[in-house]
Amino acid sequence: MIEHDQDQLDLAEQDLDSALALDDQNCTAMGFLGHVAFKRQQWPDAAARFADATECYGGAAGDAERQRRAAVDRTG
Amino acid sequence: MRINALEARVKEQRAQESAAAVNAAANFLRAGDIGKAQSYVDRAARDPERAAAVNELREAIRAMGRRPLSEASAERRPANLSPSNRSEVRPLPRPTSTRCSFQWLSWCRAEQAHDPNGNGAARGDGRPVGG
Repeated sequence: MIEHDQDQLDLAEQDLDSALALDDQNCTAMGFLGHVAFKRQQWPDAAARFADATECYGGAAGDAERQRRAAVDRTG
Repeated sequence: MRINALEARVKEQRAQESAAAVNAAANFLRAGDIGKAQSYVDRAARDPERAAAVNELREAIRAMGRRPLSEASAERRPANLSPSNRSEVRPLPRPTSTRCSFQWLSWCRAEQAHDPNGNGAARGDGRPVGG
């Protein structure tokens, strides 16, 4: 995220795209790509990236919730 | 122990989800897509912690909805707006408050950055919750 903080947006974008290539459910990378687009004032792209992050986090929360319920069931 | 850890994870992921939804809504609004902005505001509203931001965004959506169609459509941005065209970017209409109270909202921070002597709130680190 150093690149992001230094406004080296192209480098940050490359890093974040690489992270997503390794893990297409990397919600944090999706969110930061939203920030990159925002800093470029590309509002539709920023909105889409943040929307992707929203879905990603929502899915992760749902997975965690299912695991929690399963753990509760196991403990009786 | 594991159940507690999973509960904490659910809360954390839901908090990140609602923060990202706030940012999505704010940027859809900037892009002129009121329908999608409303959808993500509603999603953010599931989290009571986002109530203040949700109220502010709903005010902004109402304000945009009241504008003449020609003016509202002029607010739309091309997908690849270059930084050199920043002067063309107009701020969203202010909600009832003249104070930009949610500095972690990306659009809010942008206005503060361009309005150092204005009515914006003091600038903090500005990192959105959902980052």
